[in-house]
Amino acid sequence: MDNSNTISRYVRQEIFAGLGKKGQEKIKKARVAIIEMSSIGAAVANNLARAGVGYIRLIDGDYIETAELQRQTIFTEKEAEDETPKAIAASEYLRSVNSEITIDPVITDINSGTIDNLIEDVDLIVDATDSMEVRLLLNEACHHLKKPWIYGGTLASSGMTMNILPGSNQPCLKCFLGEEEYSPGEQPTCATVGILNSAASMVAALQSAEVLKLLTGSDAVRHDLVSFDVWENYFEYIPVDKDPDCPVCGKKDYAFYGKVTGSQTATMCGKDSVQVIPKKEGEISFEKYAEKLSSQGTVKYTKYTLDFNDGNIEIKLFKNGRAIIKHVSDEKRAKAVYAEYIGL
Amino acid sequence: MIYLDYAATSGKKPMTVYSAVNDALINASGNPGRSGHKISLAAGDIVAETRFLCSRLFHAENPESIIFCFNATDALNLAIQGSVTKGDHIITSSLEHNSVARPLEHLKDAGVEVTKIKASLETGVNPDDVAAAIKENTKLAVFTHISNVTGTINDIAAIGKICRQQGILFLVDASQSAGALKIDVQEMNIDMLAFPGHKCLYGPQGTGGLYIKPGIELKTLKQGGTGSRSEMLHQPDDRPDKYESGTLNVPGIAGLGAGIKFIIDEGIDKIHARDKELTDMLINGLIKLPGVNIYSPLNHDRGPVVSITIDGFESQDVSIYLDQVFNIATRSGLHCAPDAHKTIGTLDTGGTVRISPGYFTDDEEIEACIESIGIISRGEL
Repeated sequence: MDNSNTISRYVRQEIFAGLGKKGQEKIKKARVAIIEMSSIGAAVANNLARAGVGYIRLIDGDYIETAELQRQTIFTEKEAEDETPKAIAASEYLRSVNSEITIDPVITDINSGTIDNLIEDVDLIVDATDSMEVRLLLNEACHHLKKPWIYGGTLASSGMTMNILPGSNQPCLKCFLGEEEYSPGEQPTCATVGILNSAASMVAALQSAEVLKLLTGSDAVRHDLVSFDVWENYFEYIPVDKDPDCPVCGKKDYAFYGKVTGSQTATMCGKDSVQVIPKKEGEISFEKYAEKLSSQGTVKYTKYTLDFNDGNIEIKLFKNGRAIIKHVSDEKRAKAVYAEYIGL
Repeated sequence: MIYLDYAATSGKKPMTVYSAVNDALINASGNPGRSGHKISLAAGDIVAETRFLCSRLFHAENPESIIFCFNATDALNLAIQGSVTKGDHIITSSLEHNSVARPLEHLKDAGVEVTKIKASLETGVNPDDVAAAIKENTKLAVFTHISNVTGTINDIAAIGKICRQQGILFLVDASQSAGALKIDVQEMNIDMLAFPGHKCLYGPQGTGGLYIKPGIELKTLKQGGTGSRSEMLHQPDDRPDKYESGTLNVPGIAGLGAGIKFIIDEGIDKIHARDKELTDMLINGLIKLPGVNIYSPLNHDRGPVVSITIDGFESQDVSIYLDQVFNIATRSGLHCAPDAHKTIGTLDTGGTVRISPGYFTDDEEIEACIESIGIISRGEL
């Protein structure tokens, strides 16, 4: 059949000088994985599905909650009420947006045991996790597997993103972060400092553009890290140098990849609760942490434990960072709650 | 003692295996996944670490697709009996161990159909024969990767491709190959892989496992405590708990983890190359001895197993001579695989003498074995 008279659904992308028809063909053949259907991840998935990326893997272990709808662009009240897994809800919506592409939802915890299978057969990975631990694992896995990935994170009104590319002279995320490591409870999270949907959308927009550039081999690929704040009015390009002593891309001394060293969970026999044991145990200041959480629900603490309850989530936190997440039987969900409220 | 019975159990193991078992008994004798205190969590960490290492060794999708079992027989029973019901058809071969053949025979009595494909000593099962045996009601194909009698290697990747195309479950008995040959369950289209811990993976006896591809649900053969969802009277559906009722063998699993770590560090290709060197040496020496018959692939790659008979001698007697006179450990008889002996024609003559070296066998030990068999075969004893 002669298709020359049919106008392509991607015509406005094809006439864009940076892509052209050839670029569109490359996008169609490409395979991309998105790490978590967060506010950023779901927005990136939406952009990429509409742009015609041929295969998109949507990875998430958690379900939709009402308090997320404020910043989530493709989920509905009904889905929050039904506690639909985010990967499933996103896939159903995106299939109705573009039936020509393959959408592959995967409900899983992302850890050193699952990461290979999630990313080894794709061309590019988009990071949209809210867990620093998952992000550091991704940095190491992508370095080992020589896969390009796009770091993206948001908190309050700020955001950051950077392309991390394979190659011996390219910096990795750890080159930028250095040795800085948070202990449990120290790390600001969206539950303690909040989040604006505009900041998340901004990161998603920047990542989506870089996906198209990287997939089509454009020479406009950005090499700097972008850091912005939509409230404080700044938008900066920060050059990141490769650190020859970087434990990841310099020495290949991985802290997470190829090891069972990430945070662990243990189900509590006979109770609807899961214990989360963070990789790095620390000494939490209950006083400071209680102040951060007090606007969210009831917080009570003693010398040994801190109890938080907002009528939905119930957490018993111990001084060293271990926590029992109550009314949860799924370990993936427990880790997600921990990441949101305490920080992983 | 010259130990040449690795196909039964690895008689020598890396030193790290012994110390891992010891450390686990001293420092992690809590119950994994049960109590949540430090010693229980330490035991849980050992189990998680070994599960992780198994999944990496076989390139499984995730660690939860690895289920710990007591040994390969236990794993094969779960895989076979958990996946078929009355009226189903199973395809297998004439090279199988009783750990496959007996569960199948048991199921035959319960109304399951079984087709046994005759295999060749040199190249194993012809994949075309598998394709030809598939019927409307074929549910499962089960084949050994390496014959425990002859060392014959089946073309698992080719059989896997056929099974996947036809939508048939493909179960591999990796009793002789786990740790000896590269296995990639995803690339080879393997749905289930049963492996023992105590052979080429260098773990202690009482360990082993079953890889089950994500998405496949088996009937459980046992139900009981899992440490999770204890409020439910029914067995939980989550992996690995669904298939792992009862307290696991944590010290054994610690040793298995150390064994797998050794294999990953050495490299499986290096291990296989060394095995091949040893069996080549053995065959090249034995083939020159008059009256010695070899039942192992001569012109194709093989596992670290060589079977022989000596004209005029009962196999059982040969092994006893080797043990008592020459201090060499081998095994003789049917090796729990009567079908395989029917295939190579040694069923009625009392089976074969099986010589199975391992990674810790040295050249001098092989030379001593050849020399001793020479003395026996020439009747110089």
